[in-house]
Amino acid sequence: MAEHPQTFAELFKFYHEYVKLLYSSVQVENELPTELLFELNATLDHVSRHWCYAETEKEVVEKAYSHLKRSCLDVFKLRVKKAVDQYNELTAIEISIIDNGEYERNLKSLIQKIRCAATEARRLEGLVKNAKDGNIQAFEAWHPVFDDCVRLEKDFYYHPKLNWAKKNGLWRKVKGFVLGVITGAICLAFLERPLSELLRWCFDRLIGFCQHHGG
Amino acid sequence: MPPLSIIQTGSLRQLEVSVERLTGKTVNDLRQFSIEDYRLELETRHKRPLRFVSRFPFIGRGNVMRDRIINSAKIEKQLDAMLR
Repeated sequence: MAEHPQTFAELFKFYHEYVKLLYSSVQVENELPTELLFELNATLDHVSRHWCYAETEKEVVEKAYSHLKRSCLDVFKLRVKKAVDQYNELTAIEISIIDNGEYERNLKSLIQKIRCAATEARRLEGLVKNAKDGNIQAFEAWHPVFDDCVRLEKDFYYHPKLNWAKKNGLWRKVKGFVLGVITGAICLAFLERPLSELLRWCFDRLIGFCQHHGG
Repeated sequence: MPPLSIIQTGSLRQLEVSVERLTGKTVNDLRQFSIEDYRLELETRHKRPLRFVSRFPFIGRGNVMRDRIINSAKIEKQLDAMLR
């Protein structure tokens, strides 16, 4: 096969070998972004033009291929967005208590790795945008990013101790609140009299000050 | 089917392993299943019909939204901000 598909057979091979896998990785959530479907619709439209409007096979394959590539890049970006959202969700939980802080350290290091690699893949994408078959190089840069995003979901977002951390975090908050109320009540019991005396003294001084300056 | 020559074999394998892990299916199954059969299987598993969602402007190349016009430069900026 050439560097990029030139015939229908090669185009559909690319679809089955590559695009369909990425499509399945999105479909598994039972939700499909319409933008992804638009790219696939556009692909079909270009292909059909070979028979309906006598456009050459090479021409329609090239156009269809560019839409398929776009759909793949969209899937990579969606995966990174999902990983970042999952990370933000996790940081709202008391995760420092899991595995003596090891979980949190590894999670932070992984998200940092994802961000750096995704930034590099995007940089590469921009650099080779106009080069012939350039996007393919960018695809290869996205593969480790995709892999790390899946790792974040499977190893961190669905970590077996996460429910325990959620419950524990909630219990810590409740405990903190109850302790705060008790401490407040104790302080109030001890300081009620001196506080009220202090307030009364301040109030008297204020009244005295006003009377002195007023009349 | 012979391996795809557009993508380097090692790199493609890494992606295949990730997709297998994510979907719980072998890549051979995913390639051979019709997307319609896979959809029906997922709908049964999730006990609800497939949903269509919009991820625009995060992805997609259109520039007209219901309430505003957004250009591709702004879309790119949003993505860069997320990666910071």
